[in-house]
Amino acid sequence: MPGTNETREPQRGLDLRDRIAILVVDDEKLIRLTIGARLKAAGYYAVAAASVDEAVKVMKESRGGFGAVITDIMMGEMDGFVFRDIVRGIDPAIPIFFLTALDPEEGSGFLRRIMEDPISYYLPKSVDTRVLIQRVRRVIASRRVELFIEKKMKDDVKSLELAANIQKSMLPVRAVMTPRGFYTTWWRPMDVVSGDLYEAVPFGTGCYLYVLGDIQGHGTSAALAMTAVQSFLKHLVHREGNPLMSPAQVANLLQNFFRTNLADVSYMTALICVHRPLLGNVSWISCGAPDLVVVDGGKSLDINPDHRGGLPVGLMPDTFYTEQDVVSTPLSRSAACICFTDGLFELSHDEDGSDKLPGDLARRLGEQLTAAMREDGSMMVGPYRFVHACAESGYENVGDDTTVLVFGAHLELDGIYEATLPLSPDDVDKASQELAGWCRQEGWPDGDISRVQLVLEEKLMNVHDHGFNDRDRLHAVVSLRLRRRGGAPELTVWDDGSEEPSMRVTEGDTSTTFDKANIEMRDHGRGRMMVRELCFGIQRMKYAGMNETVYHIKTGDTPGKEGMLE
Amino acid sequence: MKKCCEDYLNEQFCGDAEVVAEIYGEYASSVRAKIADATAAFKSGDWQLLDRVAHTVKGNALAAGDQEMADAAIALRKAAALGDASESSRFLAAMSAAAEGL
Repeated sequence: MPGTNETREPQRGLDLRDRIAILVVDDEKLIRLTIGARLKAAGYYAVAAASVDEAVKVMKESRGGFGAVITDIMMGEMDGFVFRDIVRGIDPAIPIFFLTALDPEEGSGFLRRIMEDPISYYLPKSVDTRVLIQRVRRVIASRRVELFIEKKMKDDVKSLELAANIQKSMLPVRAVMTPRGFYTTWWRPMDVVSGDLYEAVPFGTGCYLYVLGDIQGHGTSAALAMTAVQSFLKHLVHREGNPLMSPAQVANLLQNFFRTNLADVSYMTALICVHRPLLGNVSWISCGAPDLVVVDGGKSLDINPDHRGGLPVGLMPDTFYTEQDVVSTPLSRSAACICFTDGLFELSHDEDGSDKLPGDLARRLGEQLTAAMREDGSMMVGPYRFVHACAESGYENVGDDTTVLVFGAHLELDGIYEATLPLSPDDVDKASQELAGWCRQEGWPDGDISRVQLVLEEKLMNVHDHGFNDRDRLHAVVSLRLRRRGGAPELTVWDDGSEEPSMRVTEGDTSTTFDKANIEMRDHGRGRMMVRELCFGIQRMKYAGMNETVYHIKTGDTPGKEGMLE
Repeated sequence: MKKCCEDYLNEQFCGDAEVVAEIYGEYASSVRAKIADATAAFKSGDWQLLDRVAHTVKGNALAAGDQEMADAAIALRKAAALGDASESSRFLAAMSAAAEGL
């Protein structure tokens, strides 16, 4: 074994990649020599520091390159435990060995202090070489295993997040409203990725084919099967896109896909619906999924008294769905159709899922909310309100992938303008023009219309610029509702982007500093100031991931509300 | 080389004569210096410093396998902690005697 000189003093620009390096800190040269020589003989790279300052400098230069620190407790200028605090600031996870001549029986409490930190260890100065090396080796090895597992888990989470983004990109947009009808959804994985899927395919005049699927199980395997089925559905639409296709035909095509590609891998419960708003009809088939729920006038209708339906798709190889399995349900224009995966009933009071959402409560909430939302024009956030109402009743722990899809005919409500639109500048401009046209038809004063347009455009562009990242913005939609309340315009905007505004403006700044701020903040959200000038009140709330912003807009017709702020 | 140190260091460093000689040389010179420090602390009645120097000698002695020196240092620490001049003087002398063999 060569002499100890090589390892004694710290060096600049340490490259500690090849061997595990251990920092030895002691104000006694003899200790630095003996420990360094032992470590070196065992294959470690020992770096010695005679003071805390020197040790800190070396640690910072190594950028986390040390595998462990061996330090004295009683050093000239500093207590070893104070040194430990400094080390933890540089490397929170590095094992620290306290090498001391203190005797545990002396009662100085140093053992207790060592144990206050879960990765600190005690070594007596008389420690035998074999014991020293064995302990250092074990601690470093176990720490390396922990770090490896942590990194692996982080990598896995990253992979899953990527998979989740791919899944989301394959789903149709969250909500669509046309002059004929609408659909709106709530899709939540239990754990990053989901085995639930939905597809919404427009055809004919305002007609839609809806497929809501729930792959057996959850997690990665269910998510992979979901992605395969979702791809198949998109392909199916292009290949087979027959507007008169019946739900049973779609079910049989899916059955063939499972039999060919996913046999012995998984199966799927599915609800397949064809909605024809002009005909006032929905035909649907349940393949082992919860039945379609139709709510009209605040009551859910008994629409499947014969219990029609079939087995889950892909469960049995020879399943064939017929028109006898399909239910045809007449719909009034006010009716709303609710599809959901059975994950909905995995919402629970308890973390362990022992107290799950009962069906009668879900039905009652669904009936009440649907009736209320149909009347006040907030139907497009129905699934979010439903999930929020469940959470308020205590059912907030998600035990499975959950999807809720609501669809129906578009209702023109007296005195209420509704729209749901993609979040692009062109669509925002178009929506603003449409909204202005509606206001003119309603006979609103020009000043009110201008203020409403300004508030709307500012809000939507703010959500566009700051509410979503580049990827999510492509799929983002917002819903809005305009009406008069107490004589003043009331604009509500729903978006599921980040709730963090681009800039926070305190209430008191609003009127006094507007002009100045308008100049100073032109690149940093001056529109928010403008919105506050145009409104006498703004209310915000968030539920189940949905942001609801209500603007009470000033009007020339309601002078009493000029300048009011909530 | 003191026999107990030679045996201990050879065992700990697998008989590497160069390393053993280097470490022993460092031990011998450091202990001599510390004994001088301890004597000065004793003469000035600085019991805290005396305790601290004795602690360092104990650590170095244990690292070099010099149990005789370590025992004397431990006893000196106890005497210094009590401010016992007579006992401190006795164990300081014991340390010096142990150092003579280095």
